[in-house]
Amino acid sequence: MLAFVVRRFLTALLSVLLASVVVFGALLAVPGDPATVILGMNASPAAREALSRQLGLDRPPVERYLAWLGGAVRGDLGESLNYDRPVAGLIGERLRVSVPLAVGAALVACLIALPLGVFAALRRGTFWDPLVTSLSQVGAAIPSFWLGLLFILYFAVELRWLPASGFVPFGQDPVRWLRSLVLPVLALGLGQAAVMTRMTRAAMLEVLSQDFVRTARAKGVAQRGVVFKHALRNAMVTIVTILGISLSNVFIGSIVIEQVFALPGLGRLALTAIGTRDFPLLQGEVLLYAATIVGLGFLVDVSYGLLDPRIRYE
Amino acid sequence: MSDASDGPAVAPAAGAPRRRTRRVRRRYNLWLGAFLIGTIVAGALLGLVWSPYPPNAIDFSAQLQPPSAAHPLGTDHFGRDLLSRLLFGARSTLYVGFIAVGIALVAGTLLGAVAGFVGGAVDEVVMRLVDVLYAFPAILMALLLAAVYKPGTLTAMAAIGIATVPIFARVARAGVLATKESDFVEAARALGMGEGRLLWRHVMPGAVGPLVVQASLSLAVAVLAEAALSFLGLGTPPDVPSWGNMLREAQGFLAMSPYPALVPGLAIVWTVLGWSLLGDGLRDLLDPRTA
Amino acid sequence: MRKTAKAFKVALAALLLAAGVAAAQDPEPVSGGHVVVAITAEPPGWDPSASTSQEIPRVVYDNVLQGLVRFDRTGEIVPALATSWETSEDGLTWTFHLREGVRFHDGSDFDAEDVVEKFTRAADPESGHTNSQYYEAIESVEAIDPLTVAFHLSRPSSSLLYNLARPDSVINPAGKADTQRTQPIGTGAFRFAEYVPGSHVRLERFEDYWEEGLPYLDSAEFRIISDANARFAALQAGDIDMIAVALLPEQFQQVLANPDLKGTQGSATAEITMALNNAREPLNDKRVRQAITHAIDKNAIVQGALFGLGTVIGTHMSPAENYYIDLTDTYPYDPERAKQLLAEAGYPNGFRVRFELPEPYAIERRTGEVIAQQLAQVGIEVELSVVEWATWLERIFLGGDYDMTIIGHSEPRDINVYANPSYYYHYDNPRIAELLAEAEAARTQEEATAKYQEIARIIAEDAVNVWVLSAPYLVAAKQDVYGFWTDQPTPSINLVRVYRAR
Repeated sequence: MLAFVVRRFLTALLSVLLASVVVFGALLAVPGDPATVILGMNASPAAREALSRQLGLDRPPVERYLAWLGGAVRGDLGESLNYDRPVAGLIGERLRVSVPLAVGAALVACLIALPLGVFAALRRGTFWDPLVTSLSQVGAAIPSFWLGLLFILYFAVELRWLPASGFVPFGQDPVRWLRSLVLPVLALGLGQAAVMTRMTRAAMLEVLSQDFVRTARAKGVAQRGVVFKHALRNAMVTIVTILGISLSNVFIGSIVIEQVFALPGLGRLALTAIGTRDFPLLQGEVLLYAATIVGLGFLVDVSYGLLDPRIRYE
Repeated sequence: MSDASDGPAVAPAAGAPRRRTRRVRRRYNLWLGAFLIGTIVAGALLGLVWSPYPPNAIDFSAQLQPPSAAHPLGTDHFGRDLLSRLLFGARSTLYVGFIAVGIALVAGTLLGAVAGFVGGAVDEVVMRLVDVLYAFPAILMALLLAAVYKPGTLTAMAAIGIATVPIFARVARAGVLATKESDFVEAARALGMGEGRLLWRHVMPGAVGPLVVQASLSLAVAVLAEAALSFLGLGTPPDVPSWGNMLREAQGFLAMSPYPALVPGLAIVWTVLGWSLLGDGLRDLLDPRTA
Repeated sequence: MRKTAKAFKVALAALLLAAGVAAAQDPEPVSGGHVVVAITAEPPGWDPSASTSQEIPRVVYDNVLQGLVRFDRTGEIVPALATSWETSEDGLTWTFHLREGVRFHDGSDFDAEDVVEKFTRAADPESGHTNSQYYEAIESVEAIDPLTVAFHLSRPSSSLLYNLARPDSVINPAGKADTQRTQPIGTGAFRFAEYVPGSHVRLERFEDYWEEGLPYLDSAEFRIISDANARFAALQAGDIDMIAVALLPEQFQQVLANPDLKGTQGSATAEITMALNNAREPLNDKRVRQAITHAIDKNAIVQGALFGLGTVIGTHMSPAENYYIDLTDTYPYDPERAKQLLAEAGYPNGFRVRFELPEPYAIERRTGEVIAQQLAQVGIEVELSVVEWATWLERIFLGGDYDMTIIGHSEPRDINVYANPSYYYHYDNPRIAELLAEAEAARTQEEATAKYQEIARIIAEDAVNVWVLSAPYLVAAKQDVYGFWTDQPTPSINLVRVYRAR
């Protein structure tokens, strides 16, 4: 078991490292540099040079990357070229927004999808199944940002129930914090719910068709008993995969949602970082993102190993 | 950009009581999906040779009009005919989707098939590389590409394509792994068939089914992805109508007229639904357990 | 729901009239209150002398940071930290008398030392201070006594006072120039209290402000909302109180129709300029540039695409600038003439050209799209593309590598760029530099103005660029907000005299 975990961990680490190299390379290839963007249109060449030197942009690329890497390993993600503040701090601030958004959306998705998916699987052959499936098909086809716009138009502008945009920190006012997150979480979560409903249903069907279920049924165990004791536990593997996929999808989808609802989250920070060629900031974010995805994948793999001993010994 | 699929190649259950409704439903998926996509393709083809108005023809005397005899779907803020733009946009949407998924299909299958077939260290290395791609947010990739070259159709295709490679690699690899141990492959090998030929002629065909299904599902995702990228301003340029573009421009005028936003939005839903249903239907069709 | 552009314009006129009548009876200023204003982007830092981003002065000019003189809401140059000034006979020495008893936000006193340090730095091209050309005539700055400063010039400069009113010329406490980017300290009515990147800037009343009774507001928040639709939705939903930048014409319509909001339309100094690369074929041929100008129907753009909000211009000047001259008739809309000129220049069937639009600017992009269509009518095939901002700055603006592009030049009185052959237009005409020098040396403002207008005529005649329109200044606010600037003689969302009253 230990060897399995260690191997998975090392490959995860490698993935993250490679991602950071790719980003660095891409930023180098891109026209424009932080000094230019900071100084704007009417800046003199002398001013730009001075700022370049100040920001350390004149050192050779390999040296800059290694310097960053050395710092990152020690936990120091460097300073943002644009904001003049530690990257870790900036990212931390944005996590306050992105984490509740992502977790909230994933939760909404799960709370809707798991029961519905199981239900549809159990009610196979009746009209409930195609109904749920069709609804989730259509739901998955709706762009989440479009949904967000419609929500804003209706709930914020028309009805004035909820704010149209902006984020209120929890520490400042918990009630308004909650209200500022309702629409974005719903816009993001409902789309995810549709996708996950179908996944859950498929996973449940897969499990329900397996021999041990038929055996249990044949033995006369009550339907509900079958479902909850055996099927669900075995479906956990797939469900955990689904959760992992859902969380990573949600991170991606949140960039657009943050744009629509003007939430100061990680997605918009990344957009700004690219726009201002802020290498340390972007690297920090990509590192975080890659680490999260890979970390989630790793956790999923490990839980496979825990849940299904057959996998451990591959 | 959510994954509109049920997950890679998860086959529906066999053995549950076969009822008429299931067989009907299987057909329903496939035919409905085919119909939806068919209309889009027809629209795109039509748009190639004819449209009521040139899609970019500006007419300030007809701004933001609701559907009428002159403009069956209404007009946008420049007075451009929405139907004409819809037809042209079908082309852009399909084009971006096909090319992006095409890239992913070819590259991903190559990587996954080789990894699965050869196995061992090659398998590990290739799949780790694939994992890196998977861990990399596609939107960031699109942004970086857009900055290096210019925002446009090409970068959108490349970004979506590259981001979809991991999925195809995994499906191809799974498909290859499933067949490579089977008896007829052993037999062919015993008869002296070369490894390459073996891979191509005997092992790959087993993977084709899931790949086709995945292609259809990924096309659904690609349409949504293009819309999202265009919404962020990274998709097709302003003088090339695409549905994502149209949505982006329609936002500011929602209060004045809902049609510029409704028309492309519904078209997107229609197309994504079409590809998903088609993919599901194909999966039902090709799954040996239910055929 | 048959709405056409024409109906909009009638409604617009009627509502503006009503708004005008209502404005005539503003209530008395009330002390206290808070205002939330939306801004579109956050600049890299808040020091106007470190970056030329126009977002900076919008937030800090006069609100937080002040210079010796400043613009009032009509564009007049009025005293700020200097109460009066004289010029010597030969025009080479300017003596400024500084205001007494002024404090900086950090508690230190304002005196001549701060002025000397600031302008010595400004005049030094190596220091990294923005726009060193504005201070190029300054040889040295001398503190005569703590409340008197003398500027010694190398040559007379008619533009000095104007430049001293610009946002670049705001004064920071001596020794604190480096921290101004993150923590701007000035003498303005508000302290820069808090900046949360990606979210907002908070200003708070400065109790020791030198103008009695001001500011009215206790505090203000500039909230960063980069998406135009999210911004507007926030205003409509009541989350924010005012939008005073980048309000789109179609949004303005809705504001006027909304009884909870009011809208004002004033003048600004932004010329939406379609830049032509004068060094590249076929744009290096004056006839081609003339043809392009003739092919563009500026009125249709303003009336159709921008719902009548904007003023057509014919050179690099806005009606709000006091040296303005109307040259819109130089090459009026005439597609037939355009085709003729193209044929003469050797392009009877037109030609292909690339037109690059800057991603963040909606008005420019929209204008560009219409222009592309109009050019197609005379046979010029335009390949449109949208370019990301950093790339636009690097490749097009700094690198000069483009065919045609379009951008709003919002810096007031910036016609001097035409004297610089390496500016991205690649326009090389030594006469411009001569005229500029003559303007600088002029002894009266009238003389100087005449020179600037001569420059304007020359560049219009040469069709260096196509100056499409001067963008209007549109403000939308809740009904109870008063006292904001309705014009933009310089980019500034001035809150000093803003108050809330029922």
